[in-house]
Amino acid sequence: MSDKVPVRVTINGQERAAEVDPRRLLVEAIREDFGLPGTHIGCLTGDCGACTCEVDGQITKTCMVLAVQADGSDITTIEGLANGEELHPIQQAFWDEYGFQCGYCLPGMLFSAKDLLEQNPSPSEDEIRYAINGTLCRCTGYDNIVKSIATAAKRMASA
Amino acid sequence: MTDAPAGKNVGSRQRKLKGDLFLTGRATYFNDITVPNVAHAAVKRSPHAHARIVSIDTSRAAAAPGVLAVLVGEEAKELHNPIPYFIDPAVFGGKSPPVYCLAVGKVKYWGQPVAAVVAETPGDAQAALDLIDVQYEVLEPVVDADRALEPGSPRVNDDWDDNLVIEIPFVEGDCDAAFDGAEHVIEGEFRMGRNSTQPIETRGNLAVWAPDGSLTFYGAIQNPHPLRMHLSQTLGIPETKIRVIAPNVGGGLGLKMHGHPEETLVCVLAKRIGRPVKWLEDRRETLLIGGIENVQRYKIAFDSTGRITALQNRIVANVGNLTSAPGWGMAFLMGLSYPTGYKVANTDVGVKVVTTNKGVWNAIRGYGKQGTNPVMERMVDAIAHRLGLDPVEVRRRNLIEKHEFPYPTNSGLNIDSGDYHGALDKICEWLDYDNLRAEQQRLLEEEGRYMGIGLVFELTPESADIPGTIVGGFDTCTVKMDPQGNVTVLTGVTSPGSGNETGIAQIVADELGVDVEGISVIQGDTDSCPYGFGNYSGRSMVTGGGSAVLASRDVADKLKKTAAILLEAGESDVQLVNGMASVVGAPEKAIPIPQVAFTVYTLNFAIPGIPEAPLEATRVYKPQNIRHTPDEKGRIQPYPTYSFAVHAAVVEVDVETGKTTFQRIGCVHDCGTMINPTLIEGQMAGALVMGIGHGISEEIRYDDQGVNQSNRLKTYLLPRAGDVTSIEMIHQVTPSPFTILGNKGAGEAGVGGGMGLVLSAVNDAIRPLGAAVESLPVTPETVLRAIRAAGHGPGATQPNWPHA
Amino acid sequence: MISKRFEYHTPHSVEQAVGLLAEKNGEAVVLGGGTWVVPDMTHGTITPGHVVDLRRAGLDGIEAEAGGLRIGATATYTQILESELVRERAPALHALAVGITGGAQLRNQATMGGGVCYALPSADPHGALVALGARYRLASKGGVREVDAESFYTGVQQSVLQPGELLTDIIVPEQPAGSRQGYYKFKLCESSWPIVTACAVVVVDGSGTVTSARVAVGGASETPYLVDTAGIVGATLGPEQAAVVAAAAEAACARPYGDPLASGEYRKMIAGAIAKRALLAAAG
Repeated sequence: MSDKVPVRVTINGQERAAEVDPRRLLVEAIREDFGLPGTHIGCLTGDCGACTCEVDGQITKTCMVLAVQADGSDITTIEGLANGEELHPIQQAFWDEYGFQCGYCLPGMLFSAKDLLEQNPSPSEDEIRYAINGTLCRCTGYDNIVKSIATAAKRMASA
Repeated sequence: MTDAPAGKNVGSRQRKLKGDLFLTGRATYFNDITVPNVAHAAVKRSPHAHARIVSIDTSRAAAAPGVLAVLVGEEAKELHNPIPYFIDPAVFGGKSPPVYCLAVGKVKYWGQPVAAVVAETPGDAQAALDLIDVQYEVLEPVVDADRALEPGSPRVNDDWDDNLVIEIPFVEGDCDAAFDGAEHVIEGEFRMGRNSTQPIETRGNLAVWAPDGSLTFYGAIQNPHPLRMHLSQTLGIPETKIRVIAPNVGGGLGLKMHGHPEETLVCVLAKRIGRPVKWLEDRRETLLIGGIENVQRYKIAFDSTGRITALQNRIVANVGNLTSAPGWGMAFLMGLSYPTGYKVANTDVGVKVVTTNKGVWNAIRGYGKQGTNPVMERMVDAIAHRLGLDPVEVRRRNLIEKHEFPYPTNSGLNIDSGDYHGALDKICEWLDYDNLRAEQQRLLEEEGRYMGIGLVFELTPESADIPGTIVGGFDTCTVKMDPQGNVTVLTGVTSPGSGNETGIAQIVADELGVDVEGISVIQGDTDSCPYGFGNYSGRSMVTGGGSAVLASRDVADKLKKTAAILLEAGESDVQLVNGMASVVGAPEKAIPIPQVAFTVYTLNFAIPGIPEAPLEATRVYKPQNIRHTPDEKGRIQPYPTYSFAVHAAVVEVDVETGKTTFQRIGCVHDCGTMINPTLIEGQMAGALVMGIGHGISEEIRYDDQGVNQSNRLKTYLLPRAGDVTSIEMIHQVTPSPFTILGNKGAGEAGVGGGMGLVLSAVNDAIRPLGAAVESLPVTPETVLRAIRAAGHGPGATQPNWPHA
Repeated sequence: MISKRFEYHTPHSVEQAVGLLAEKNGEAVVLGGGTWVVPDMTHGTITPGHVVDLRRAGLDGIEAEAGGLRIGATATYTQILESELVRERAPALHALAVGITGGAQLRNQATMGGGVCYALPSADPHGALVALGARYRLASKGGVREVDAESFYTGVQQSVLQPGELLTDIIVPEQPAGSRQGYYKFKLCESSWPIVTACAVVVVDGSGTVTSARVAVGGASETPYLVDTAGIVGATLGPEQAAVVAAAAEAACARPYGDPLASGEYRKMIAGAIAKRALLAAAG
């Protein structure tokens, strides 16, 4: 019964397969089986958002998904956001506006920002705050995160 | 005198060093560290707040799949010495029970570690916990601190006569006489709930023993060198055989100061099975650790102009089960910090630190000052209301004036410098205070809406040194330049994400004239970094920054000496700027710094007078103003700097539900010279919102049997982006005369401010209803109950129709 | 990590799913969006031997049905939010999907059907579904039955859902002609579960007179309940009528539900205000 099960995914554009303990959560498989530790574990109850990835085009808290459920999925993790050495404009804005301190919440914040700006390229402050409500940050008080996303929106609009 | 360098980096908004690593998921945190052959530990915890352990049967667990070992308290006790206290109450005349990594004999709080399993996978370890059969004889718990002080109440520690850890008085002047002659007296009782740090990364420890008996310990921790000492004492091996490594930390906030049982536990388990052992804290376990919970019974005397003449306060702090972590000391600080920045001639403040069968405390950003500031501000607001004076005016009349610094306080502190009235003026200007008050009145009268204006002062003593403990007020820095001119900084302070590595690099860059982003800052490794105390008490830029100044100046001196020879100039005429050693006033006489460095390393025999290689210096920085020699009243002065702030908020209270909404938040912050305003703003915004969380929604709740009711981040409610609004940050700079750069601690201010703001603003809003709240957190339920208690039934307070 | 070992199943139809549930006889848990079940498994508060994942069972459709709406059990809140049909026929459900605790990720993952089955009083949809007169379609090996939302809930995390039974669809019937819907959700803060929710479906005629009103409250009592609105039918909606509904909403809170976030007494204290706000939202 403890036999591992095969899980095939496309992760950051690469096709990958692993034999996974069926008890594994997706976040654990991403970190341990696929070797991408940038996706973080903060609560395992879907509250903090540090485990956020994009799964089949939707931002997802991967602690609430069984690894076996992701078989066949297309996953982007925080490691896959940049274009090679060139940071995604949202990443760049978070650096320039000091949008993080300890950095632990970044998977949730960056993917929430990306999700927002894809749907709403010029969000208001309230819309930005609403968009990142799914992710907790204990360092910044959110102020610089909001600024970072507003800056990213401006830069992406003029690019 | 302050002695700030004149370079371009200090004071600038330098972005975070190596920020790209964090943004691309390549920064290494504790849980990302892998070592070969690692096994995983899980902890069996007590389901009772108070019970005798009758028996533990581990046989089924030991036989479960993947299980390598099971350990119980009676065995563990033989494998390690009691875990030393970070701050031992016994040093101050109090009591401290021996602490082991697993409960011995009886459990003293719900969630106390009782047994541990180590297995091949975390899942196997977790699964086996259910197979450990513990028989308990349940004892009556004592949960409430007042009850715990009553004779005959259950005792948390069997060999104690009572539940009092220590009682600390802070008395100055003649309070009795002042109250006897007082024109006005207000008495009150204030309750502060148990809150918590909850960084997004939980704790974790990993122990790796080498065949030679040496130990490498990895942890999500704040204080590597002090932890090394404590592990040495606990495990009975010399510090020379221990290396402690703290990788990037996903938020510390005090939680990751050590003294937790699991630090010892992984070492003991790893030794037993002969393999590395890792333990990662579950969020439910993080929520076992709280702090601050206290009751304050205060009495304040004042004259009819609002001037405070006397303050009496009896503080009872419920520290739960006393543990080795430094949390309990926050109760000490609550008393020591009175009466914050106000001039009160007569004070009589007493703190009783009480142990109960609630969970343990650890340090929380603010370290107890947030137990003082909100209550002091509440008293000042109450005085204003009683006299019909404006709360800002009452503050003006009582705060220490600019010309009175350094100011000795009643508890023996010596406040370095300040301009409190300047900060008050600035916040009122930002608020447009008089017009705002008029608008508040209009909203109430015309629209039936309850706006509240909160305004609080906050004093934050920072960068402590407590004699006889491992709380050190100095730190050490090594600066090295290699033959090609690259700079490495090794420092004893650590960064839990606060950005001090960037601030330190800015300082070094200015002193050495090199590019800041090229500097490598290494922290958190006891084998490579010089001795230091790590991260707490807003100390990193005071002590870490100060020692970086001194060490880089020593290296700069060597560079200047060498350059002076090469450029045939006077040493005092050489400057290090923009990567060049150049002669002041003669820009054509310049040589790249890497070439100077290369000369030191390669032409040391060839050129007479070249300073000795290597280009390295290690220096310690001790800020002034700390005084450990007790004065005639036995008081010491453990804090070099006192940053302060005035915060303001505009809220609206929904009087039908009690819910508060923030409309504006602003802050005038003064932490002396700013190394990097962006870092300081980040610290303040984070602390303020954490304080607002503690003020409005965060509470670890227990039932009357001492069972924890807050087991996830939906029952312990952290603020989210939509709960707050943008924060207007206004800087004021009053340099400290006692630190080398004129800076003051900037890591903790805001927590007490945020808590006080919620309290002040909500009370301001509901005052027209005759209602008041005297507790924290100010939850909607608390507010609505206060409104109902003031005689307003349902419907009586509904807003005018229709309400948007 | 989940500690207890289990077997994972992905049935491709309702028939397969109910077959599995029957076969595993109480050993199985149904996995919808996973936002309740997976954390409960991680915490060990449920330890199923079998997990039946509905993701391939074809239950995520939102379609028109007999003048009303059929919402598949695994439709996520994002699907509900983006559905034009929902916006037209059940705007209260659109409104409730907006502020789901947990943000965009939760809207993408959580399903309304899952929330119904979990039956925690502090949840977004219960009151609204009762106000809309929704019916829950439950399938089992023995066949299909429909239960009114109002009679589905029997207590805190308790319902008439039987072992071996599966929620397949939520049926929202056609609402009265000319009716307007209002929904109000009260949370302590963004981290909090909904404390009290209310939904109102109101018909106001051309002269401004209320001709029918259906108001329900969730979260205040252990089960969602309807509020007696007889006192406002025939009247013009104003502050007095709102107060009548508020008083009725508070009075009807029979078994106040308390948890560590908010006591039952508090929930009952605010039930009236929340019901009133739903009514106002409906009245526009």
